[in-house]
Amino acid sequence: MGRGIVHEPDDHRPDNPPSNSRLLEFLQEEFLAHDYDMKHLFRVILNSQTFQMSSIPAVDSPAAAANFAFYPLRRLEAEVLIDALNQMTGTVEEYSSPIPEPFTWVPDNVRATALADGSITSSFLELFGRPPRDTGLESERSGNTTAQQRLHLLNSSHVQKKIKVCPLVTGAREFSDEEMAEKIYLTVLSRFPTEEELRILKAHADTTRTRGQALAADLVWALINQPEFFFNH
Amino acid sequence: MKTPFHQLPRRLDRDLNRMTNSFGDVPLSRREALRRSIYGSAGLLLMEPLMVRASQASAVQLTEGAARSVIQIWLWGGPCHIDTFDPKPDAGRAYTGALDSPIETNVDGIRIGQLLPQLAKQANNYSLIRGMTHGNNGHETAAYLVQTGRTSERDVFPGLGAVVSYFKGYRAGYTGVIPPYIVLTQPQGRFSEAGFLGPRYKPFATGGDPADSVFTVEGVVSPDITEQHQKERRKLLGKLNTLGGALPGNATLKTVVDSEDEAYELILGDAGKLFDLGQEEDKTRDRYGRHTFGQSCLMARRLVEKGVPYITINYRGWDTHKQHFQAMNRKLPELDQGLAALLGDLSGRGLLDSTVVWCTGEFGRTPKVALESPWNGGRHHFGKAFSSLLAGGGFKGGQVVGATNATGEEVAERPVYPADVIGSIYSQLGIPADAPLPHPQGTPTNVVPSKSENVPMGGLLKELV
Repeated sequence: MGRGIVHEPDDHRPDNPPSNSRLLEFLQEEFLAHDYDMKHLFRVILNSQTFQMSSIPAVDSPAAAANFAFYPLRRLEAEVLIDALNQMTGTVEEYSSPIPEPFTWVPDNVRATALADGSITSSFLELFGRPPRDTGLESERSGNTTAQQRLHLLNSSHVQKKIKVCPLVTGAREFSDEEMAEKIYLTVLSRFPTEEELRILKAHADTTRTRGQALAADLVWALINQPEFFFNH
Repeated sequence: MKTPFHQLPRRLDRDLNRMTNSFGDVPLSRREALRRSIYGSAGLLLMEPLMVRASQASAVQLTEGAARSVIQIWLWGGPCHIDTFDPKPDAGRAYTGALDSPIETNVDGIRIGQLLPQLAKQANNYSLIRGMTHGNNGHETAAYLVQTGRTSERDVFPGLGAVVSYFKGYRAGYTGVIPPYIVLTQPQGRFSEAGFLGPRYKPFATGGDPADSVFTVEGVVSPDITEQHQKERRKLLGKLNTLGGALPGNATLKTVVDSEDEAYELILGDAGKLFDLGQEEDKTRDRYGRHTFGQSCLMARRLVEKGVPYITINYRGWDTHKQHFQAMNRKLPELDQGLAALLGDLSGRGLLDSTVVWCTGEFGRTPKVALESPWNGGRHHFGKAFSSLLAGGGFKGGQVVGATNATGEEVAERPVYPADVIGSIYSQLGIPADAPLPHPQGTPTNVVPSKSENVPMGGLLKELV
C-alpha cells in the first residue's frame, strides 16, 4: 500500500514504533501460523477491506494515511508500468547485460518484474525510478512523477511506436467507435467508459475529423497518459 | 489468535480512534523528524549522522567561479593517446603504425596527431594533459573512475555531471525549462551517472540524431505528430481526466499536472525550439560537420548559450581492438572538425572563458600495435597512460601538463589522476573541494576525495589556472 505499518519500512528501531502494533502483531501471527507462507499473507492483506478502500479520503489527516484509512495514490513501479504497456500493446523490450562480455540477452517473454540482475536495465526503467541497487535503502526506489517521465509517456518514439502497432489500434476499423472505445477502456483502465467520456471522444473525433485507427491511437494515448492508468488507486 | 481478517476493520477503527485521541498525531518518522528539526532546535537529533549530512549540504557556499558550464566530450571506448594528443614519431612504426608524422600546432613546441589539422590551428585555446593515469583497463570500471574520481567499491559515487547538476541545478536556483544536465545522445548507463545522489540528478538523454534532417529529441520532438494534433490531443487528455476530477486538490495529482505543464513547455513551447538545428545557418552546420558528432557539438553550443550547466557528448566507436587505423582515418577527421568548430565558435562568441570543454576517454590504448592475429593491427585498453584535452572555463590554453616516456607506455612526469581533473573543474565552477556530498550512510564525504580515502591524486591542475 505504499507505506509500511512501520514507516519507513526499512527503519525498524525502538523509537520508530509501528503505527498500529496490533495489526502488525496479527499479521506476524498469521505469517507464523501458516508456516511463513508469503502467498497466504498476501491473500489475507489483499482480501481485507482496508486494502480495498477507495483512494478518495474521507478525512485528510496524517493519521488517516498512517492507518490506511484510504488507499494512497501510488505511481506504478517502473517494471510494472513497462510490463503493462507491453502487454496492452503486444510489444516487448530488449534487455541485455553488457557486463561481462559476451553480452547476455534476456528472452522476449521475460517481464521486467522478473529481471533478477540489477545491472540489466533500460533507460525507461531508470527514468521511472527502478532502484540501481547502489545503497540497499528502501528510499532508492522512486515513485515520483517528473517532467521527463511525462515527456516520455506523452511524446517519445518508444511509446508512440507501441501505440502504433497495438492490436487495439490496428484492428480498430472492424468496430464502431463505441465498441472500439469500450475495448480500449477495458484494456487500459479495466472499466467501461462513462457516457460523458464517450461524448468527449465523439466531440474530439468530430473537431479533428479523426476516425478508425487514428482515433483509436489518440484514445489509447490519452488513456495511458491518465493518472488513472499509471497510478494504483 | 485466529481472527479472520475481514472481521478486523471495526477493531482497527477503534485503534485508530484511540491513537488519534490520545496522541493527537501519529509518531513522526525519522526522516520527517529530520526534516522538521532542520528548521527548529535540533537537540539530540544533532547526533544523527544524517543530520550532519543534511546541515552540511545546506551550508555549502559556492564561490564565484570562472566557469558556468561544462561540455564533456566522451570518447567512448578509449582513444589512443599516441594517435591523438601525445604523438611518438620516434618510437617507430611498431608503435605509430602509419600515423607517424605528427603536425606542428600554432603553439611552439606542441605537436599533435597528423589527422587533427583543424585542432592544430588553435592549440592556444586548449591544454593537453599527457600524464593521465589510473591503471584500470576495464571499460565500466575505468569509465566510473574517470568520471567520479573514486575507486570505492562500497558506495556508488555520482559522476561529475550529476555533482554539477546537484550544486548548480534546480537546488541552486536553476530555473531553465531545459534540464540542467543533458546527454547527447545516448546515456552511458549507471556507472557514470547519479550514483547515490539519486535519479533526480540523472541526465536527460536526448536520443535521436542531431545530424538527421529533424533532430528527434526523445519526448520533445515527434515528427509524425503535427503541432495542431498535439494541441488537440492535449485537450482530449485534460477532458478525460476522470480520476483528477474525483480527487480535486490532491497533492500527488498536482505534481502530475505540474510536470505535464513542464513537459508541454518543451513539446509545444519555445524551449523545445532550442533543439531545432535548422535555425542555424547552413554554413555553420557545415563547419561543425554534418555527422552526429559535429552536430552534437553545435547542439552543445546552443545549450551553453541557454545556460545549461552540464552537457555530455557521448561519442561512440573508439574501442578499436581490430582495424584500429581504418577507424582512426574515419573518426579523427570527425573529431577534428567538430571539436575545432566548437572551440572556435565558443571563443568567437566570448563563451569559452565561461565554458569548460573536457575531451577524454576512459583510458588510452596500447601504444604498441597488436599486429598478431586476430587483431591484425589493433590497439587494446591502456589505463596506465593516456591524454585528456582541457579548454576554457578559466583554464589556460596552449599548455602541456605532464609527459609520457619515449613510447607512451609510462607516465614520465607529473601524473594526473581523474580526481585531479574533476576537482580542478569543480574549482573553476566555484564548487569548493570540501563541498559535502550527501552520503547515504551519513559518512562525511566531499566532492574531492579526502586523504583518508586513499584515492591516488597528483594534485589539482594549478599549472592551468
